Amino acid sequence: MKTTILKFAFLATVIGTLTFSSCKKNPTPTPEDAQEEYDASRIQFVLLNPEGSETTDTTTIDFNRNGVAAPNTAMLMSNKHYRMLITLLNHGNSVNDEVLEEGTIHQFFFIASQNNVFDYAYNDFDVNSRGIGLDGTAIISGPGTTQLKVVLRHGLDKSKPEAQSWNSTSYENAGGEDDLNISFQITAQ
Amino acid sequence: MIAFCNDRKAGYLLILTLKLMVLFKKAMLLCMVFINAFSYAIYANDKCNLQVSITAIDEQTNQPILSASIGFGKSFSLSDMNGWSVMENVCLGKNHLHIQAIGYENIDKDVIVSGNDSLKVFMKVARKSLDEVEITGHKQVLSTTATATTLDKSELNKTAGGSLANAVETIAGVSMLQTGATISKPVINGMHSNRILVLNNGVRQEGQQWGVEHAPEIDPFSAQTITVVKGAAAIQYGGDAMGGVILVDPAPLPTDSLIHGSLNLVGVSNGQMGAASGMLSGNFKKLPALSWLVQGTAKKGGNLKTADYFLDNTGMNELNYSVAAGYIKRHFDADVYYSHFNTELGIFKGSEIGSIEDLEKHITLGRPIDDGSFSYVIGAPKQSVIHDLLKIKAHVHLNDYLHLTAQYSFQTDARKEFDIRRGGRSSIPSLDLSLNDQSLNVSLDYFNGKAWKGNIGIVGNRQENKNIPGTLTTPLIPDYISENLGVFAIANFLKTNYQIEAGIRYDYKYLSALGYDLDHNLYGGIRNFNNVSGSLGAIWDINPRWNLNTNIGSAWRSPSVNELYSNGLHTGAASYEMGDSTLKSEIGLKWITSLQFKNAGNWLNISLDGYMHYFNDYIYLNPSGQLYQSLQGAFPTFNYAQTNARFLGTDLNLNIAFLKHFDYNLKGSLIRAKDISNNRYLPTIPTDRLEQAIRWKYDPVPYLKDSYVEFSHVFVARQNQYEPLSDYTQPPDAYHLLKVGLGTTLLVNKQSLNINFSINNLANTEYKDYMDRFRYYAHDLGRSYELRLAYVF
Repeated sequence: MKTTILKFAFLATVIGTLTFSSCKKNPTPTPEDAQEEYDASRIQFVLLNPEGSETTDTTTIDFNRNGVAAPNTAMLMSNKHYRMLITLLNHGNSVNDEVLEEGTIHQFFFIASQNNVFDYAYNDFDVNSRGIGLDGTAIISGPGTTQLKVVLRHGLDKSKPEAQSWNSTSYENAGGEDDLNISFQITAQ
Repeated sequence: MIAFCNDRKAGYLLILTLKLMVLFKKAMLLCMVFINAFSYAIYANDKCNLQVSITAIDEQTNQPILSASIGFGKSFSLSDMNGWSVMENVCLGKNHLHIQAIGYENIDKDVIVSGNDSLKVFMKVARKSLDEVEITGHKQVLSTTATATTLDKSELNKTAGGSLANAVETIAGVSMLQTGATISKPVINGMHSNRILVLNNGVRQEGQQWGVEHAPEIDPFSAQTITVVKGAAAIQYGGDAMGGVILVDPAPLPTDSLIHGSLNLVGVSNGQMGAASGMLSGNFKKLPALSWLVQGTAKKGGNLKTADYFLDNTGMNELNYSVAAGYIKRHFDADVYYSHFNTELGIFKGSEIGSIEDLEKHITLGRPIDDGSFSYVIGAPKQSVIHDLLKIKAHVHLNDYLHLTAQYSFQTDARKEFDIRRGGRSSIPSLDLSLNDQSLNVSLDYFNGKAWKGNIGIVGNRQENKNIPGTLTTPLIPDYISENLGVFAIANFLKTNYQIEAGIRYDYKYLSALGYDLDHNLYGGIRNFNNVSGSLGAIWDINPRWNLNTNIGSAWRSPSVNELYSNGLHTGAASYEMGDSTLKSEIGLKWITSLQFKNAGNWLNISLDGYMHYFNDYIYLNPSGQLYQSLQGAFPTFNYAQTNARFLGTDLNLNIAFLKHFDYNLKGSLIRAKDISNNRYLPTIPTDRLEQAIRWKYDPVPYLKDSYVEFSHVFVARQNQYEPLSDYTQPPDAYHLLKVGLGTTLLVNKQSLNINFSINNLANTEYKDYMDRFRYYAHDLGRSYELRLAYVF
């Protein structure tokens, strides 16, 4: 009886060790096609004619994955209006429609370090008629230079007083989180 | 699952192991003979004026046995209603113990007496003719020299419905690490995650425990007892048991032919949480050796509330069940256990933050902008975890002294984490991990019923972790395969007044990790780890009033996958973490000493633990002081580093019984931890705690038992020992919490109904706990009315 049991134990240990020496020693991962992390961003200033139509004069600032602006300064003309377009890119493709689909919980805010250069108005609106900010009008006065911080808030409550103006410095109090937080310089001359 | 591969090396290793086992057994027998001879030589002179008290207890119910006939040496007595009797004029040396009681198996054993002593004898119900009864002269559940505290069902009933961390928090020296109010992990003497081990019914719980926001996937309702061991118990349980072990043990399978069962109902006002848990167990009449047990739990809770506002999206659901069957014969028993755990946990919505700017704004405000509202709905962010465990165990008596145990376990853990995402992707997990773990343990136990106990074993383990594709986001950790092999030997020398334990263990671990990063580049590698651990301990029953436990043990831990290979933005934690693939194993040495005193009048009880824990190559997250810039803003960066660390601490538990019906209880703990290589403080160390309670015990009528009213106060100090750089803000202030509770047990025939009612955070204090990772965003829980019923039949 005892030898039978010991034989059984031996067998159990053998099976165990053989299992652990079994074939697969290395994992086989699968590369994941990361969809939602946008890896670049672009801000374009399209010069507008006095009556509001677009010209072909476009100033583009590209932001890489680390939020570094290239070029780091947008050279714009004083006392002009520009159509300001922001694009979120993933592998070179725009993902703006995802933001528009959930327009009621997305809003851009623009914080300028100097007062007399940059002014803004939203051109795009969500279903509740509140501005989003992918498309807007930038009113450049100056001459002068300002740093401009561009923030996209996701999940905010747009009815809050802190979300009512494009340059609200207390936008965090409307809730939500930063989805985009980049900054660059505007020189108006 | 089990693949047969022709591997000669494995075969040779096996034969070698078995030869070693046989040799060890021979060595032990030789040792035993020698020691016995030696002890007889010492106790040669006759002395017959000793006093020995004997307590007879029912092994299954832990109740004393009235009127048991006890014969010891030349003395004879009947046990009283506490199962107690005193034997006078006992002779030094060998005495024959004979106990007879109606309904129980007779006990006939020789016991060596070396002085005045007290013996506790556990008697088995007569229906099953089982193996020899173990006589233990000690009060612990486990025979371990490391300090251990067991919570039985009556204590577990008071925290029923909570998590495992909630249940063990009542022990001095045990606290919680929280990620908001829905996720809590146990912390033993400052150690948590993969520095402590959780054993679920004898199986190592494996489920991504490296994550501080990954709570153990265990249903405390399935436990009959939960034991916390505070020493480095690596010898028996393997690596990871550096700070301690939590043993979750289910009810034993019944040995009589009645159907047993229980029903627990819990209602908690904060979160409007309800829980129901039922258990049924029985025996097959035609085959009494075969027993079975089924158990199930359902829990549902909604948004929790702090003192002033609701925490949006903090609901939870849980559905668990377990099934067990056992075959118990005189010299052989086998059991099978399967458990299923399924939970969905909401993660506080206000914890979703973008960048450091976001974080700073949250911290300035310290709470969510809105007051929130109540709801049972759980949306993103949330966790969804499913854990399955299968255990097969066989235990056979090779002879009267030698037992062989073999256990196989298989676990799967499926963990999905959902974040707030755009484009309808909130319903796709951003983390989807699938883990499976297999373990095979074979061990040999030797106990001759007298002085020697030995245990040798071999453990093998294989674990596979996969990132399930389709998350549309780069995985946080790579896929990996890990294999462990361990061999250990423990010897115990038991005398009636003291016990000495020594153990040694060798472990080998193989880890192969591979994954794709953000740019689709392959990263990872193969690592091998080797380590020897040892432990030495003693228990000394100095006299009936004083008792000393001391244990010094080494343990090791190989770096976990996230510590080696993390490389990315951890948006949930607003940080960028970088692993180090060259990290070495951590080696820790813990010395814990526990002193217990009970005074002559038996109204004062003190238990004081002191411990020192030294680490070589302690792995921690080091703030680099740099910021990682991304499109979402700036994030502080941390890198996993190694240093030497030391932990010093003490735990106190004091009880004073006064005025016949009153009890005063005081529990305290403090820890001092330091990075000694850099002379800095370590982050996330539990703060000083003091808990006191006054209890009035009085049973107004005979059918009510264990009735009480209790008023308690907890004081948690501010953490003043921290490095400003390692934290985003200052630790929260100290706080006080008040609680009132009352309860009783109603007894009718053989059935009982245990009722507990409590009001937690009586004063609705608004507070934050340093060990809550969400303290930057919100406060901890407000007042809660809780009712718990436990019906047993």
